[in-house]
Amino acid sequence: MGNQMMHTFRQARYIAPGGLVLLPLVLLPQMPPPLALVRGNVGHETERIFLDLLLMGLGALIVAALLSPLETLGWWAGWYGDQVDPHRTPCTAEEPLPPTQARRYIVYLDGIGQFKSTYAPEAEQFLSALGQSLPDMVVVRGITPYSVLNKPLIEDRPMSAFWRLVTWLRSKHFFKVLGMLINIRNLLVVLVSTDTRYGPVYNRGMAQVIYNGLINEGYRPGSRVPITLLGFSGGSEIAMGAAPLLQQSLDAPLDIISLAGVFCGHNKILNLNHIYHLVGDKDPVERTGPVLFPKRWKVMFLSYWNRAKKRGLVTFISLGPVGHQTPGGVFDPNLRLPDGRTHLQQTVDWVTNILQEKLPLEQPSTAPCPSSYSLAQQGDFNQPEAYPLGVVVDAAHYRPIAPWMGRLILPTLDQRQPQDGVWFEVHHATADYSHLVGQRVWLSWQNTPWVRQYLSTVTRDLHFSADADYSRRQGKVVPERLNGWRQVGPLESLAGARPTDNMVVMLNGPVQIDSLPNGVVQVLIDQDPAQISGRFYAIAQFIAPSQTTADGMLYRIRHFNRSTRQFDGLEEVVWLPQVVPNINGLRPSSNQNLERSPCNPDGWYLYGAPDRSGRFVVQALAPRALFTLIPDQEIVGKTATRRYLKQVSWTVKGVKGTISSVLLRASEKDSSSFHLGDRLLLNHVYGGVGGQMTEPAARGPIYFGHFAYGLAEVVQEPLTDDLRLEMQYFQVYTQNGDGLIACRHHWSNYMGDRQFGWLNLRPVRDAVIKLDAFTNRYDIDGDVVCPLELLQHQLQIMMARYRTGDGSGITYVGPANNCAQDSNQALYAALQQINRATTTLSNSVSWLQTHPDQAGQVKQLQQIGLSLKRDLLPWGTARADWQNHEAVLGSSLEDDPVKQLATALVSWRTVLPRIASDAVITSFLQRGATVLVLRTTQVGGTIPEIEPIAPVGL
Amino acid sequence: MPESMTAKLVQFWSLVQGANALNPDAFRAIEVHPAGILLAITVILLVGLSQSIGQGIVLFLNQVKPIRFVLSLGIAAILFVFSVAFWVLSVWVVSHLLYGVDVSFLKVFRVLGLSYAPLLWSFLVAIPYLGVPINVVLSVWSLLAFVRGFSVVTELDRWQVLGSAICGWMVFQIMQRTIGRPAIALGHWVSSSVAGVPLVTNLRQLEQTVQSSFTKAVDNPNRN
Repeated sequence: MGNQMMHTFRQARYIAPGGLVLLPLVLLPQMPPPLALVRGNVGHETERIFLDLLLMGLGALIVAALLSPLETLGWWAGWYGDQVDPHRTPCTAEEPLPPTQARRYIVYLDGIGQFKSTYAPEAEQFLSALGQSLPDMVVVRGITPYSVLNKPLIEDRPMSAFWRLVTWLRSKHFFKVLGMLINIRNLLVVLVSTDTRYGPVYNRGMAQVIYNGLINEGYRPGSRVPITLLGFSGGSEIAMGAAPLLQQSLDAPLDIISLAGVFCGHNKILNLNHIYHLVGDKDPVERTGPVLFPKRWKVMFLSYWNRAKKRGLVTFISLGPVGHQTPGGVFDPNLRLPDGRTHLQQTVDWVTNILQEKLPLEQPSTAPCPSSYSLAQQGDFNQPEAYPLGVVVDAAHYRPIAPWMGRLILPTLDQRQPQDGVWFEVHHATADYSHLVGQRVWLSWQNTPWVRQYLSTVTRDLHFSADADYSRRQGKVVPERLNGWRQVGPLESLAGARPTDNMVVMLNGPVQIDSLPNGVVQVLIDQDPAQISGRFYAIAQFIAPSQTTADGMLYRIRHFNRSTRQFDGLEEVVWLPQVVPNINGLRPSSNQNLERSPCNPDGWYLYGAPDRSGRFVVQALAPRALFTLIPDQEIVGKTATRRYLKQVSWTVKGVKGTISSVLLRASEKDSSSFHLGDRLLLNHVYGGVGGQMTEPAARGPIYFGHFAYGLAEVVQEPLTDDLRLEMQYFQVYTQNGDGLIACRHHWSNYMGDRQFGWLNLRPVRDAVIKLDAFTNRYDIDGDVVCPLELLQHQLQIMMARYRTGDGSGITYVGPANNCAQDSNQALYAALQQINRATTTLSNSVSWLQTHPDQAGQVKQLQQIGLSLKRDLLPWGTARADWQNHEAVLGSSLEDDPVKQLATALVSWRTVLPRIASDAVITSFLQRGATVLVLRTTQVGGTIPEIEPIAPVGL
Repeated sequence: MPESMTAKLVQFWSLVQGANALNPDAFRAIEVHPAGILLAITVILLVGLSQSIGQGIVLFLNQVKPIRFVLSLGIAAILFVFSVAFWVLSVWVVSHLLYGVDVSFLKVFRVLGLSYAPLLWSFLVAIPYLGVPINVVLSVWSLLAFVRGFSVVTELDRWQVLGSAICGWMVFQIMQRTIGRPAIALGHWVSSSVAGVPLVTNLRQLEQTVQSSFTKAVDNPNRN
């Protein structure tokens, strides 16, 4: 023994541990006075001896605790042999192992009583029983979870002689209590695993040990054979520490079964398949976990453990009147339960059933909760099938919304083509191709540089994250049909965004017709399609309901007469179905008193289609006056326009049911007129639903609202011959229960839809911005640059990324990533592109001299780019993630709250929708833009239960 | 000789115990003690050693070899003495400028040196799981000792002492980032030379290296 001591201290690697032991010994004499006081006050000799022993025990415990991380740290530092090479593969198999038919690998991690590579008799009995019940699974045993070197206590280590002595002594009845020493030693190692400083090293070491164990048993990485880590007591903590690393590296489904597990709850377990936690009612040891480890307290709701519980990742199983260790514990082979089985048999049964997926207990429900979207599906009129194709409408009074319209249909896996594409059920086509109506054609992309760039940027594999799955169960509409698909393109993510093929769209931009090699007609586009409601529209006034039923109202309407320019045209009856209440019990639009609405005198656009009986069903409404480009009021001047934007434009009191149209100019010099063909930037903000039926999001003290960009165009209305606005939104919108998809939306759909739109529900401020410098196409040296189109491209990229959650299936909202932030990230990217395009040109003096006419345009472009950047990011530097185009999309705020808040601060002007919108509009006004502010405040039928709420400003 | 050694040791421990108990007499005693400077430096050296043991994980994660590990602990302790000296200097300058304190620097150094005594327990920070809360307790404890000690030597009230500490801390931080940079760089160079590896001290960065070493190695089995 003495020799061994000398040997120990002669070796340099034990000097540091030696120092650790000595320092407390040096310091012990000056233990704080309170302890001395305690000793001084004790009268009896025996009590004093007892107290001294207690203090010595405490000292020894502290020394043991200090030494406990040394093995792990020394292993990492290479003190016990080869240094860990961070680049070396952890695989230890020299030869490729023969393929195995194992259905699953189970890795057993024993409790803190373990001191050798074999286990206590009862655990051995458990494992052999498990092996017999699961012949097609491999049980990996022999792992020492309390040593990163995988060395049992009694073998080949400096203190092994001591531990052998302890194990020998504890076999004698008198010294049985010494067995506690093994437990304490291993418990300290569990604490190392839970420590935020040592844990990462320890867990990395254990991941390696488990990995090696799996490989030695023939596991093939990449085979995706499922793995279960089966941890008993402290072994559960070790399992939870190593599991995230193992799963990431083995890319296989990984479960944890925790038998009476004690664990800390701050391991990153959210991506694991599932955790089963089996505990007996009489287990005092397991109960220490939820008390001792703060991350398992309920108040720490952001801890990984509590989040995992919230997402239904954890199943709790009660083992009945069972304790922790034998006797009476989960492996006790003798004690019997009321049903006659031994404790051991019960545990074997549970584990076997879990592993054979025959769990005789209620699985957490995988059926989604109801949502506004799922409720709306109950309305027959919300289904595309309710509107048969080929029914002719009176062309003098009904016009198609767009030349090309149809329904997107997701192809099956074997129908997919190398390039992104989906089926398109043609509902309307240009006259040349009217024969295609009713047919299913293939919709895909034109081969242009922009399209190629677009597809390569947004196409990705889609595998649902645990968050996506959780959101689906919560009723959010996520692209569940695409889960597991590889290389999902933007059309597929649009067609597959909802659980069924009910996405009805219009095609945008030039359309090319082609055919596939198999003869199928192919329609090629170069822009995203936009979602629409209805197929045709009319302009009319409501006169009065002619019949009211529970399903809806038949309304008498009078069409606009182009020759008299009055609403004295054809009178007919249309059908307004009663919309389905949303999840809050509120009907999103009302048919009541439509004829008395302040908007009725100027008429409505009625969007819809004939149903099976041939009657025209009004699916969406729009007040005609909103689009006529005739403002009610004009405000000129920087101060006056700013005051209007900040104060007046969000006054919601007393304006319910009305619309307004106000023209803003910063100076008299700026143009005040709109012309046919003008393309305009649209900026949209909505407020909340208050009143008796206040929506949940607006129940707090502040309501954030929503921000979006869009595109408006001045077109000639064939039904009136007047100029009007045609508007589309580019919605950067996270997955939600309303079924609102991040994509382009025609006004009829996003605002006007009587079931899904906001017209009757929310206060909305749309600013239509006309600034030639921003909307013109610049033909510079053969390259056409249009800031508005660049923005449109970047928004399409952002929307496609939102639809797939960058491959995770879900996008979350946080301060750093939200509708306003990410829409403006798209604007920022567009401005960067302008900057790059113009910098090279303006540096070339010779080019400027030879193209004096274009020099002014280049300068104007540069200025608009710089001023917008300055206004939106007043702190100068752009956010690093915007500059680098980082692929971080709205991860949940829980992941890194501090960093997210800090990132939000840098771009504070774009955090709040209303502030961001004010900043954008003001910035454009200062550059000489003309802005038409269009407000609608809960317009349509009467809904007395709601009131408008303005989004929060500063 | 051994007797006087023992006597000195006893004296030393009684001063340390007094400081730990926040007893003003201990601070008054070191203020006038003939070997006060030496005692203060001893306390700081031991605290430096204790702290570097408590934070030994950083050396381990940098894969420092055993002999160099021990040397690094010693160097860290010595560098700590210098760092404390500069910190005391900033507090002394600030208290002189703000509150017109007129006490010699060495007196302040003795007392503030002793006020580090609670941090002699810093090696306990190495205890798994409990180390982090222990660290918090020790920091608060040594701050209280600082307040008590500084008010004894300067006769300032506790708010003025806190003011001196906060302003002193700001001056110290500014010095570290400006004129103190060469000294910091020198200290870092010495530590790295002794450790034999360029020392990374950011724990989070070190942990990421540890974790990613596993997944990266598995992802790229052909990587050499």
